[in-house]
Amino acid sequence: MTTRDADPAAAAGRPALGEPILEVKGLKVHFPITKGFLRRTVGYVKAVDDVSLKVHEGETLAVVGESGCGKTTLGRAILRVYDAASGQILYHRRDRTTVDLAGLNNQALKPYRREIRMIFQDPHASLNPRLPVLEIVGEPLKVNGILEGKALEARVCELLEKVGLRPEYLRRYPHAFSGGERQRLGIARALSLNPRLVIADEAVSALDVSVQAQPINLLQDLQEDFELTYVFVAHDLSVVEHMADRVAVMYVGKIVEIADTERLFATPLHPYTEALLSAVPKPDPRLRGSRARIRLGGEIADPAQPPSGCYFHPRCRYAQDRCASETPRLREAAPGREVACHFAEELELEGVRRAGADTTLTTN
Amino acid sequence: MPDAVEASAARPHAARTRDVLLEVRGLTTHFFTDEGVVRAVDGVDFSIVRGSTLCVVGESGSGKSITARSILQLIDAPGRIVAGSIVFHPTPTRTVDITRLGSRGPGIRAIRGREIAMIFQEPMSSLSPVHSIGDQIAEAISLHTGASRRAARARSIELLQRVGIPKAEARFDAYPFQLSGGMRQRAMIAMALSCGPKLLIADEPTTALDVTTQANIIDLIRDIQRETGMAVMFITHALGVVAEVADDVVVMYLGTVAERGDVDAIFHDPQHPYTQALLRSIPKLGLERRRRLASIRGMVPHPFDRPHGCPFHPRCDEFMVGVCDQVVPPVETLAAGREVRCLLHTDLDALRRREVSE
Repeated sequence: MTTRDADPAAAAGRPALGEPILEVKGLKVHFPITKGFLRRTVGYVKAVDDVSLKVHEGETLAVVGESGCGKTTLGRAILRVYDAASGQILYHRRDRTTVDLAGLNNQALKPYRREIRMIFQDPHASLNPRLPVLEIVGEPLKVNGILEGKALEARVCELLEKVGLRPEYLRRYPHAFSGGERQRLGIARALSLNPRLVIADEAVSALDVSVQAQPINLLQDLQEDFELTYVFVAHDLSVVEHMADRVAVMYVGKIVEIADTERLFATPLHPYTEALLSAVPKPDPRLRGSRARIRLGGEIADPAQPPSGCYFHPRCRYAQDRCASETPRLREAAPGREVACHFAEELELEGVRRAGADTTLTTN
Repeated sequence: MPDAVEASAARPHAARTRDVLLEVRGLTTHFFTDEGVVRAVDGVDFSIVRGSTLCVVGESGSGKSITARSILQLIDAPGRIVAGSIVFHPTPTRTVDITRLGSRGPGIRAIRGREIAMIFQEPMSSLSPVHSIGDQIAEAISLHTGASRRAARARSIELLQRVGIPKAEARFDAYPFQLSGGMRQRAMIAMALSCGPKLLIADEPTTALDVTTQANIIDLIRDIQRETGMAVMFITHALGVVAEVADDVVVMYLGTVAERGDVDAIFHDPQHPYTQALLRSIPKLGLERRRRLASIRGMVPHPFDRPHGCPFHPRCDEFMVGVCDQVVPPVETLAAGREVRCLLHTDLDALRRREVSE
């Protein structure tokens, strides 16, 4: 933590965690594997396997991990795009009542789907090419019977302005926009119903670096203006570090570590987090070779046939006999820090040193 | 030139500057479509030193992939190389200008896949789905070296082992869909290495991969480079990757080279406003947090709608009215191998005098 003190944002003090807005408890999402003519179920892909986490009001919680770790499935399961095999998705409403989204049918879900919205990864695939902007951004308002006609148009113009697009673009079609602008359309659409919780699934991954900054800045501004809560599903750790208050690291359907961003990046407790951080390229040639990179051998485990014990043990360089037999539970290792590793206390893992302190990176 | 002497003393790899493997001069590749001419590559100069790594960076639409494909004569109609030279020195005594070879003749076939190999971003679309990966590698070997079936198979298995595919003998008969993204990319690399190329062109080889897999593939390419002494031309838009692998860097924008130099100069002393803006826009791990990121305003212009003068001027913070939108910036040489194309570095009076006298 000491290394962070120089940071003005950290020194000013991040607001203490708000009330939980969403609590996921023991969530499991399993996809059946079918075989043969009769489509017999021969097994399950455990995409999300017993995940528990809390999302607090006003924070950005990032969910990171390799492809196939279940982070996207988790995000979608919260919105009930996929049905949970078991577990609870407790959503705390503004009036302090609590509802379990996992148990509701489509009709009963409707009001909650206005409050929890999603931004999709690919701005080229997630916007209907045959609809003009007015329809795309205004559709949620229309479908929910909130606004129509002139009032709808006015509201869409207002939303476009908020995301930095000109209201004259109302009648244009998606092909007339660049990738960065399309992503802003996706954001405008997600915001049209004044949501409380936004699930952003790789919202900036498909964009070029020079324009990636635009939606990142926009999401941060909107969060301040509208007190939004984000669940930010991503694989780019440098973006995550920039955006998130807390980070949950997933591996083969399970959360292996969850902590606030500073501590997770500075002193990871799980060997998988350490390996992930170590793999991020450092954007300064002078840091080359400053630290040996951890090479993760093997492949990410198959969620249909996960290894015994700790799922990460075949690739873990600290693995011991116990790791192959006993599955570590996600437990609190320090206040506000949870980790699923038997040896979290004994291992001394290396995080990301704050480069600002000891190097001079000229970027201007 | 005193500058050049200083530069080579300060940077060890610059000492090898004489030993150039590939020299691209004024490369111009245009696409003649019904709507007009797309100047995808418009006068690009750079050279690759034997055994070194050159990174070509740029956004989508900057012409970096077309540059690479031009080197292998892989430009399909309506595209055509209209000017420039690509001089390849496979051995110190042999020199070939690839632009004179044509895209189908035996000349280019002897080079393509053998002396210059290429790997692509999405291995699934460049591997045949109906042949096993082993057969595809063995085919390349027997085609270029005339090896027997058995010898080609043995060499393929050896290569699959080298690129880190476990159980290589069994995987010889695997089809691409049976492999993960990282494994497919390894198979592609094995195929590219099969004939011991002098130059490997890697077009965004890690963009579709996870960071952990990306790190492994980068390490693999670097290890092989160290063993075989091949040069690598690495095309990417990820500046972090550039900082890790490059010796020299070419920054491209809209079909032209905005700036080139060695990696340290590009990251620590960028001269072109575009390079500076790109470096500002990346979030850096362990560095400033929650600060607003700088973004480059606007977007890459439509290829039919190229700006007058400097192609970057509508998005540039240093835009000079009446200058940048009028004058096409010439290439200015700052030191050996260090060039920038920006009017801030140009003596405008001298430029005007030159134009008048011409």
